[in-house]
Amino acid sequence: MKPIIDVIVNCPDVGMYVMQSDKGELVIGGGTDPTQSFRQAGYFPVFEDTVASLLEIFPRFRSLKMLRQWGGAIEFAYDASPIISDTPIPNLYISCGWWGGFKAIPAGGLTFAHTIATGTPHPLNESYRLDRFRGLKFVLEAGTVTAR
Amino acid sequence: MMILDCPWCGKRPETEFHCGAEAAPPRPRDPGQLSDEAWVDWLTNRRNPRGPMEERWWHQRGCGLWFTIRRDTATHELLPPEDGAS
Repeated sequence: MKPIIDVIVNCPDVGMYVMQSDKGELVIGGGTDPTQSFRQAGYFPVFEDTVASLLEIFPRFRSLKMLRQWGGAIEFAYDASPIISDTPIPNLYISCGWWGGFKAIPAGGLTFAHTIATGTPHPLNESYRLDRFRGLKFVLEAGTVTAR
Repeated sequence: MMILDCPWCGKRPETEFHCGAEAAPPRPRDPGQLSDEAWVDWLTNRRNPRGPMEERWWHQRGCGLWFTIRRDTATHELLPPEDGAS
């Protein structure tokens, strides 16, 4: 398809995002299974929900053909924000919970490297430590696509 | 698509329902008497098993009833409730 969108359209209200790849294909993403799941496969209710949301916003995309779909396991924390942190076990560091709309892997890599190299969190990931749950200091990240 | 058995309405497609979450232990009667650690543990920690799990569902687009089901999280297969579960 010829260029039609040059931004990432991210609509948290309906849990859908769409962007166009350099090859011209549209890349469409949606929500998670409505339940905890280890099935690691596509799931029709979520697929239908995502496509319905897409067509609500861009009715012209009705004429497109689907090329392929992806389904897999994603992990997320209680507050739907990542964990970039040291742990109670010495020299064990974790970076996880990278799901949804938190498209910040460059900063995630830098702050995780800083945490490992210096033993203390970078100012940017101080609030993303594992022990935030102990104090109920949740990080409610506004760009999260599917925290709904 | 799962077909859930609502205790009031009978078997209905899962799109009529909203999944609450993994069924937690009963809410502590007096959280003020708990240590912070025990209270936070109850609020935020769940088993998240790969396999049979009990969870709460709400018949949101139906009769409005909340009920508990048992489901295999690896296959989405619905399982008979364990003894004592409602």
